[in-house]
Amino acid sequence: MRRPNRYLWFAVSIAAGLALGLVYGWVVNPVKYVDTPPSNLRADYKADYALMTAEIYAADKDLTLASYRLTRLGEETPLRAVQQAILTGRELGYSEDDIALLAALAEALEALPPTAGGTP
Amino acid sequence: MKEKRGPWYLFTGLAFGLVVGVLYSWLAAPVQFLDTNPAALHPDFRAEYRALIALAYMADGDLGRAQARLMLLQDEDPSAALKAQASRAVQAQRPEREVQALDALAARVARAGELQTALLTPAEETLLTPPPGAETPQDLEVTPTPRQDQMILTPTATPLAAATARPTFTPRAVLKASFALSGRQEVCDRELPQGLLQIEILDSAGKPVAGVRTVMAWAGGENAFYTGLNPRISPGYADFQMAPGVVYSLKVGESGETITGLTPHQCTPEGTQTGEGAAPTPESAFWGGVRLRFAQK
Repeated sequence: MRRPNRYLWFAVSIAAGLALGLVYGWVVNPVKYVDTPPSNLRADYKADYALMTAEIYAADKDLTLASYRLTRLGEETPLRAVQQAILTGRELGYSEDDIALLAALAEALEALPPTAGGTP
Repeated sequence: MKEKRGPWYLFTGLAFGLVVGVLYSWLAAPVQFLDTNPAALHPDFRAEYRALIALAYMADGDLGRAQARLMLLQDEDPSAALKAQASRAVQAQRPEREVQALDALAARVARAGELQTALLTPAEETLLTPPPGAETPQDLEVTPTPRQDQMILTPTATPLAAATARPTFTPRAVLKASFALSGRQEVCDRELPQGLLQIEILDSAGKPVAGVRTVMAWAGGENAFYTGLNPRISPGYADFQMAPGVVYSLKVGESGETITGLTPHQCTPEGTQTGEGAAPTPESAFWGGVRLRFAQK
């Protein structure tokens, strides 16, 4: 009668240890990502990143460089990154001037040769 | 003979479970940080971000915005970080414009910091207090200090951390609404790109609606896009470049109807449509587009 009890308590102690380990690893001291890429940025930071790119593009008209910068955001295409930024900007209440800057960059990117199947 | 064991087996189990739990949470299924902030960027990307801030400052001249952006990087001394990066940029033979932008912003941020420090320190009191023995100007009008009940109290706005505010994607009710086709027009306009599908989406009050997801599908693919990406035309506007000979179907919104059989058609120079499928002769005809209007049900 004594032996099964010991096994039970042994299993309980393992489960308790496991639970403590998970809490420690996920909550108390989780893995810290300190060297993340821009594609992991939160949506509002991504939108601001795209806005900076649009501001610079408005001044230098260097579409190649703007396009390269936007690829950092990890979207399907640079155009998609700007479109997403416009939507996020609208949600966050960006000024019309900022939206216009993003729109100008989107228009310039849209003018690039289309991909197969069609382009939105 | 009675076997006598202590509670050590419990500690063994606990330790075993703890080790497995930590290993699982750190290695097998670590916490995923998808929504990171610029301070968590890899140093190379941080440098790119800083350069972007500087170049954007050069473009728009908005120091407040540049400072707010620099704060996101959480550098102890943003001006020093900019200067250091400018030096590294020179060594790495980065474009001259980038170096100039970093230098200019570093200087501007440093100057702004000095000014702020000067305003906050009591040094101004010593400047305003005449030194002993100095003559007090007689023609200065003495303004009595108003009592509190004579003052107009204006609340000081607490600066909002706009740059770090988490976006709240509260979907507007209209985005989930369903839309029905309310108008369709074949367009023959040489001024427009050939085969252009134009969409305009309106709410029940007839106002254009931005942010509506539309999906264009064709044999072998599909593409989702949103209204509102061409704000110069209309917040409810979206367009799509159709390829001749490809038949598309379009779905507007999450529960809207699907429009099928969309394809570019031939137009004559006079603006009349002549059919679909065969390529128009280069001189005389061109591919027309379609204009669709949807209204909220």
